[in-house]
Amino acid sequence: MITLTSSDGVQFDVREAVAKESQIIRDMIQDDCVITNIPLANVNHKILSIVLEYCQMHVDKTEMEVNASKHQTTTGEGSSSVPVALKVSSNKNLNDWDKEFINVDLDTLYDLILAANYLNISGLLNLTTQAAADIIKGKTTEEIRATFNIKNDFTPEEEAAIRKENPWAFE
Amino acid sequence: MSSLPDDVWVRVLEFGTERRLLDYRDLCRLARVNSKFNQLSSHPSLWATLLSHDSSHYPSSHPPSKSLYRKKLEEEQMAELEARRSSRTDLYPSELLFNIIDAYCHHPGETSVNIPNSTGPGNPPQDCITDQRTSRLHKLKRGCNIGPKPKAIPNSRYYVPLNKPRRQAMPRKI
Repeated sequence: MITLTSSDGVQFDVREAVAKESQIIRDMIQDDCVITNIPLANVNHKILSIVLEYCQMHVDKTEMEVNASKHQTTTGEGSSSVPVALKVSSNKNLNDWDKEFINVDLDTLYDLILAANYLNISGLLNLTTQAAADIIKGKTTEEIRATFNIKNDFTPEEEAAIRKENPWAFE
Repeated sequence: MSSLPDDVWVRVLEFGTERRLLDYRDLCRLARVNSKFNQLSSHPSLWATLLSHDSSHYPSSHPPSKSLYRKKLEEEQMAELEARRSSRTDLYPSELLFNIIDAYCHHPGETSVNIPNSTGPGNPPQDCITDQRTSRLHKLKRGCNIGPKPKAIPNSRYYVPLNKPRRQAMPRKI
């Protein structure tokens, strides 16, 4: 077991495999194998619990798959189509779970991207950046400003120039 | 969200373009949001990805950029337009159509073709309209790559019926 401490001092005890979903923790553990308590200065407990929920789910699913395929090889029966079907269905479940998981408000998504970036969890980083890209997709300039609460800092002259530059994309 | 660090935003945009979630329209809309997004959305790596997805003539010798993408897009749109126009001239007996319009322009009133005629008050005189029509007709003709109408006299040596395929050269006898 490894203890992860959030920026606001909350401790989480997790299995090593779960913590190792993060590249940065994996590197730490490889460098020094007696490490048991890791302080995470940039992640608060609310976000860390969500991140760990993600890691837990993905580790569990992977282990389930490994066990299933081991079982398949030790019993040595059945055609090869069975584990493939199993894998496909579990992947589908995991994708559905991911979709449900990432259905969060914008501030949480923002924190999750930063946490995934800081902890270097590639699966979570892909999932969160995709969610952010999905939000941008198809939105007008005004809608993007409103959604992300962005101020228009162009001077009227700059704005006119930008407007002139970009209409080719909308014809 | 705008306070995400720039490198994270670049990652979001890169991931979005790689997965084909975001296209050039999305990036151009982003460019108009504010100065930071204008800068982020013109990152060459994003346009390199879009070029490799959308342009059949990429990679090229030019470095990838938004302006290169625009150039390629406009070239390809022109080519598509050309192709559509030439296929349309195959579909319609355009020469027949030109004969009718020609006849109308030169002898208005004698043909039964119904082209809206505007002789109401305040409209330009008839000559001017005819001029406009003929010049438009010439433009149309140029677009379809058809030269001036040949004088076709049936039963003459040079008469070629409209739908007859062009005569092929005979193979040379040895």
